[in-house]
Amino acid sequence: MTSTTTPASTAAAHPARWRGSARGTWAGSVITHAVLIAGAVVMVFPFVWQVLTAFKTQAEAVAVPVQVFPSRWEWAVFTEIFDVLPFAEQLRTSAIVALVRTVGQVLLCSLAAYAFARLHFRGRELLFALFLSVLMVPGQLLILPQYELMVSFGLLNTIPALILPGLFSAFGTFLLRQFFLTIPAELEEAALIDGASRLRIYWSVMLPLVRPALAALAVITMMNSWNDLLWPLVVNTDPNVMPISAGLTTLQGQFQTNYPALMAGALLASLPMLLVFLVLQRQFVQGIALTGSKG
Amino acid sequence: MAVPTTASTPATPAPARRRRSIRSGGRAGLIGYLFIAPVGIGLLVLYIYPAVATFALSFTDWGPFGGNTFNGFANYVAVFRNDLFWRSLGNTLLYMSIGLFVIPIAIVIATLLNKPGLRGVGVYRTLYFIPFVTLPVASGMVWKWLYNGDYGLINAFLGNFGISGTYWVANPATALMAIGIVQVWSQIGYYLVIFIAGIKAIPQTYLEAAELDGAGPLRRFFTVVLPLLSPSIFFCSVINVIATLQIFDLIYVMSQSSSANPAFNSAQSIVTLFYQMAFVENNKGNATALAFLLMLLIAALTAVQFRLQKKWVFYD
Amino acid sequence: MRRRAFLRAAAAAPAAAVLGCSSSSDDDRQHGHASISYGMWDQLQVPAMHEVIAAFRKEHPDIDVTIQLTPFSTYWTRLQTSITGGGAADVFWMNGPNIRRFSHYGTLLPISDRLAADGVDLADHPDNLVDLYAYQGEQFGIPKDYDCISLYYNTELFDEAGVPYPDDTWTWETVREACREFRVPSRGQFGISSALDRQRNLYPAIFQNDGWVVDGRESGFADERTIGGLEFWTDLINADLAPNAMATADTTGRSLFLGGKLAMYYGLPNDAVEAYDDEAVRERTDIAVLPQGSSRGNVIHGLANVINARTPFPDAAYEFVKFMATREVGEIQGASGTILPSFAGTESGYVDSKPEFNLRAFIDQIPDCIAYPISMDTNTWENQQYTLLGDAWIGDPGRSVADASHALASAMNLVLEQEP
Repeated sequence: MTSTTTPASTAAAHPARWRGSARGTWAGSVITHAVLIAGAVVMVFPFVWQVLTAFKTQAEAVAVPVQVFPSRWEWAVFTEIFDVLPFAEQLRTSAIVALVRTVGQVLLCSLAAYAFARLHFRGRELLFALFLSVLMVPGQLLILPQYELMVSFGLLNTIPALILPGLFSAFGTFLLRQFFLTIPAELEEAALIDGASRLRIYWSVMLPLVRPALAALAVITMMNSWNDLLWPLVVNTDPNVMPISAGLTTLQGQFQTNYPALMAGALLASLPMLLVFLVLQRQFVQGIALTGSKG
Repeated sequence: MAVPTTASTPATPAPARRRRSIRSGGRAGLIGYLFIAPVGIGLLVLYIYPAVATFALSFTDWGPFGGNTFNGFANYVAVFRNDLFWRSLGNTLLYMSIGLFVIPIAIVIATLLNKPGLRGVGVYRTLYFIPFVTLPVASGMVWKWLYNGDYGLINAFLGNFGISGTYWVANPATALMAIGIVQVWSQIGYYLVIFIAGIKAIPQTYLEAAELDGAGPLRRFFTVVLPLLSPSIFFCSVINVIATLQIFDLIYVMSQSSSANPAFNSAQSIVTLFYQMAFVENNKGNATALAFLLMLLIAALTAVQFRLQKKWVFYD
Repeated sequence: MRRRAFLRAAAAAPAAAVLGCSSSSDDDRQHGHASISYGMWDQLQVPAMHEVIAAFRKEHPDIDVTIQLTPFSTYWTRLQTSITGGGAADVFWMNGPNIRRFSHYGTLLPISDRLAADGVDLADHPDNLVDLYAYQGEQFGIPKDYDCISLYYNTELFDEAGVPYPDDTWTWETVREACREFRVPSRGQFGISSALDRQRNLYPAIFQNDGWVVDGRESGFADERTIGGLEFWTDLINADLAPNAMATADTTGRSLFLGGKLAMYYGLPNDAVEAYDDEAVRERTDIAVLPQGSSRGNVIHGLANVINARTPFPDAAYEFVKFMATREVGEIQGASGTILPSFAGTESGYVDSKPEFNLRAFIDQIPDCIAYPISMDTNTWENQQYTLLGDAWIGDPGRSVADASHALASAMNLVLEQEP
């Protein structure tokens, strides 16, 4: 942190009053919890279903009418999945792809976003519109030309092919630009007077201020990368360089799908993501307390 | 640039002048280009160039495996003459309207999750994050089960009140609405993450000042939180319109993946129609024309939103 | 063409050198060593294919074969993309609806001359299936397996209703009468699934009524006999003797049958796998030949192995495809119990894998079979079938199947007219 941001002193100074006002409306608190719990049930239900299905037999998984609980809790499928798929390799591929994409996107997009929000240069609006136009093209349209690019780069069946298109994001740039726009200009101008370079201001002043947004982008990028399906299946056929998302779909047949194995595999694959989220969510919680001269 | 003269009078840094130094071109301009270059070049090579090259082919007759001959506007004429195009256009606009409901829902939940002193907030946040790590196939299974006409949970529930439901995703009258609701559900997580970050980025001093002025929680929400959240809301509404106009996966999972669904055309979106044309029927010329028309629609709606933002979005 | 050249120019120059055949080098080819890839979509058949490859390698130790597994849902998208972009598998699975388009546009390697030179005749495979993979007098693929349709039935429900088990004396009329016995609304129980499923339901019924689907550039859906075949199913639905298309879109006929809600079900050989795996279902399930309409009739389809026209190893790929058409491979595939191999006489492995089921019914019906109907743009009009016929399938007797079928015929004729 540089001298231009004030530490989170104000928020910390008045925690009691915040609590007090919350406790004052006991009924409000009950309603809050009721709404949040109802919402949580709706959000979590499919995941619970996934867990239950992992323990079922295939017949139970597709039973008509639906069978909610497995008649026996069968763990065998969790080891079976390692025989059907090169699970460890695919997990590793997914992790590498997700990590590189996330770090890359957060860095590159924040640079561009900062420029779009704060620097003035000729054609800025037009360039920004051009960035946005990328979001408007259905991804399915780009599969063929992007595939041809990968072929000509000689990247078929390699990890870089999985990473490359997802490294550059108009979405991430737009998201971070919106957050940079909310930062009071005075903070930056003070640093400029101090003689700090643009790169330094971006890195030491602005980035820390949009940390929640960086965390949000990281979460979204990582999840999208982890769940990416069509692209890996198109550029990759070697099971050993396939990410887990694509590997799992090979369990879906034309006529039947091995649901328990699919669900069990997905469950194991989701554990690293849950861990990542638990770590990243502290970034949200901390938040930003700045006392600009405005207000 | 008369740098030496300004440097000679450091005691009076005229604000107007300083501002100009930020806004003018020159060095700051060059830095701007440098900053956007990494993403810009990536997008140019991997997205914009392929898109432009492909759209150029919308004026050609495409062989299924390549090979093009110029045919003018024939693809566009064919698309405009296709009843399914108009139908899926209407459907897509409906999906978009239903999809927008995700924004108020996500704002409310994000606000509740940011309530100071809320117990178990970490647990809630994690629970709301769970859909991100749920296999889409699993979500699809659950929703199909809920909507199932004969064995579904919704109809079992309605049955308790003597109401007989329908085959929600197979009935042409209800399929679009049923899928639209799942779309809203599936998007909540994304917007929640963004709004939580947005609310966290609101300086506490503003809220405290409002509270000192005697504003209650509801008033603080409307006079402080919402205006300061408006850049995020704007972002989400632009992104949401773009995303729902391209709705595809969900329709495929819910209504097109298994056997014949009588509601197929009633739930068809532009992108599912595009996919049918491009990859099932191998009519890439028409498909590309369709995609280009969709892009024009999205661009128009996005431009309108950017125009309107001046009326309601507050940047600092 | 120009566009792709442009794309390549845009790409890094040194990388462009490896375009199309990144895994092969001239060195390998000179020494007779080849490495080919084999594209398929069914995870269940992977073990058998590993066995096949091991057997092949005994005869051709200088040819490596690797399997490329792509799930069915993305198989065709991927294949089209990789064929167009260069980089598709050397040998891959092909099906009926797609064969003509792939062969017409020169994406597949013709093999007639090679087969003739080697003196290979394909008489051991069902001839209408062999013909399915020939286009303009040239053979493009060799069948690997086949399927037709049989009647699966639930013995428990038959015993309960006191209906004798189906046999080769059954007709459409017998089915209608039996369905009245099986209908129990309180249990959601029906006699049969009449789902809008072209291969399982529509085509067999059309053929049994002496109808037809496509002939050259003409659709058969305007023909009274074709419509009569469709009416077999819609009459059952309109009489509430079979679930309508909305119900079978929510819960497939197969799931309803496996769940004990249906007494009968028209199924593929592959459907036996899931029925057999569940012990309860296995005990109450058996299989019979289809009931007959005005004639016997059935539809035969099967997958074929085809060769990528741009393969750097046409000889090795051909050797592999030829080997796949032998008795030995038929036996390996049959023994795996996943599919019916197309090499005549090798089905016993499959039949023996599920002795409780009368899987012979499939083999017995081969003489009744008509080849799965295809044209160049099969997928396009197949799509139209479901969207246009769907109206007549939702159990509203006011929407006539004849009207829907005529509408389908005109839409389909438009497609057929524009075919190259």
